Amino acid sequence: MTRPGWTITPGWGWWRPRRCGRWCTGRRLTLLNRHAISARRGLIVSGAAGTGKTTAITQLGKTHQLIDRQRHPSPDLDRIPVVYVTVPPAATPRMLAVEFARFLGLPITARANITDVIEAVCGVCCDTRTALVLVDEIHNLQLSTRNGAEVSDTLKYFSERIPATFVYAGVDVERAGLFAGTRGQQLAGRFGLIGTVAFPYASEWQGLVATLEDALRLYRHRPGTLVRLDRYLHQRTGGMIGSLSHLLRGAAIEAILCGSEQLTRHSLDAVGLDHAAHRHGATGTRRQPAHP
Amino acid sequence: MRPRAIPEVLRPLPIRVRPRPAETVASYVVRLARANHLQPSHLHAYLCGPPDWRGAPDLGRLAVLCGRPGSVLQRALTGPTPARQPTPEPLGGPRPPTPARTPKPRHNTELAATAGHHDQPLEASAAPAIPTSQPAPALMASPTAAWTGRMVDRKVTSTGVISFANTNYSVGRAFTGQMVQVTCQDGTVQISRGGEPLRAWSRRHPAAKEASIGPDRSHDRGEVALDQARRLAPLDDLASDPRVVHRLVDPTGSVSFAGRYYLAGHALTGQVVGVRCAGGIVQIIHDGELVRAWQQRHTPQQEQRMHQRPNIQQRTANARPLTSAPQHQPAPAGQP
Repeated sequence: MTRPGWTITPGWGWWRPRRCGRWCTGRRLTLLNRHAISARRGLIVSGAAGTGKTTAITQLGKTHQLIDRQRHPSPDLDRIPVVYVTVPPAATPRMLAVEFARFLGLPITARANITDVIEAVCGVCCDTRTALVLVDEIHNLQLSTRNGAEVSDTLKYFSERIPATFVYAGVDVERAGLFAGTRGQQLAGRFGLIGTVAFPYASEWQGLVATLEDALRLYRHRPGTLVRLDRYLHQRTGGMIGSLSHLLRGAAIEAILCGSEQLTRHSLDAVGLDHAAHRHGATGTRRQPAHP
Repeated sequence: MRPRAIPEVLRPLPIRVRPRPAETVASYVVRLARANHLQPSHLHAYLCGPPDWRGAPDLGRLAVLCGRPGSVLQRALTGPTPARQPTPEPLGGPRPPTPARTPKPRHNTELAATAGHHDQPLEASAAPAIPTSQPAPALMASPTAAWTGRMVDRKVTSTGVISFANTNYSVGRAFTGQMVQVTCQDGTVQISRGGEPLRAWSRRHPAAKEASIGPDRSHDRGEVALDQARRLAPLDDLASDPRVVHRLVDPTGSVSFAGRYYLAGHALTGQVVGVRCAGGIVQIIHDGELVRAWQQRHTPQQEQRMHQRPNIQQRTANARPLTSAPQHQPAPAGQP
């Protein structure tokens, strides 16, 4: 299910529907699943490459960790409120379990079998009060293959053992067959889908450009220069936050190296972008979201 | 099957456990593994490191995984040295058997460097008789033999120190709760336990303070210094002395004797000791050696009734090993 109009905005108010001022979905799910015994609800972030999926889920994890630290400020408490893993390509259940163990810092030897690893991961996650599990690159999971199905079952087992909210992120997961078959139906019944789209040229885009400009630390840069170039930036990046970040950071590094210490239209033109953005700039058409 | 070497950077474990004082390395590794839901054998092999993945845990790896400095671990942990340093044997021959539940003391220079509270232990040139904080060699005269009337008993505190003439001297956390004998001779404070030299320090207290210490001074009220108890009641005729009775040390470390409880020490819990009262001193003997001595708190009538009816004062749980051959005698006329 794709919801047009849902965009990724940086900062505290990320993931907030533009047309709805309700609470953000991620925070609501974590509170909803806090005391759930089973059948916890999850979230899947799907969208085209460069639309900020990883940025969004890491921002969610950062926000949750800050809130957890405010509630439990004692440094002696062993708390790991957020776990972030990436599904490796051609993943097997053991590889995924080892990814969890590596994030937690558990020493895993070659002779440790998957049962030992899963027991250690689940035990530590329960003891450290893990409440949010972020699984990125979920499109590496192919339910049509045996290993992919076993990895899906492993994730399902983790979600049953660990009292946490699971958030998946991947490229066009609904088209990659993640919701197909019996396992896919089970995922579809428990996970909500949020599609990420490019930023339209509106006030949110200008706010995003202004936020990124405030983060610049260039001596001769005039504030407001990038805000005046918002239409140009939107045309070059197609509204993609990843391309915009790459463009501004690349131009800033170039300005530091050459000593100009400022960003101009000319310096921005000198920075090459990814192929998709370059093609978009050549055609002059606005990049369309994958699933309008 | 040996686990393969995994070229990765060591990281602290997610759940960190605080080491307990005088805890063995093996016990700490097991607690650390249990807290992190790991198999202790796997964690032990991981701590040993490549290429063998076996043996004694490496201190550096343990310090990284538990998230604590290595000096803290060396000061707190006992047992097989974490730094893979072989425990040196005392130069005076094999050590006497350590009582049960007594932590094995460490004897390495690192412990001396970290356990000392004020100064370093004496160097070999400073005190030829007791070279360093290593176990004193056999060439050193026995503290008991060289007793000059200033030997006192001290109980090692939880921080591993004893107080002598209002000055703290370190013994080591491994001896926490145990009684040691302290003597000061020629500007050297010698600490021993059961006749075995432990540590030697240069004197830091003023000599005037030392003069006020009596030879029979003890921490606990009613406890008698061991050397004084030996002088007042020699242990020469133990085998033929009919006053010696055998008692099982209860879980509180005490024995019942003539209707009174006398402390033998937690280290002897569950073991059979000999107890006798001679010259107003109750002596507790283990393996032919005097381990504790107390002033008599029972009456002569109680002792007489005890000898007439042995085991009558024993509690049921304690009396089980000793009542295999019941020796109950009928109470004499006029006795309750």
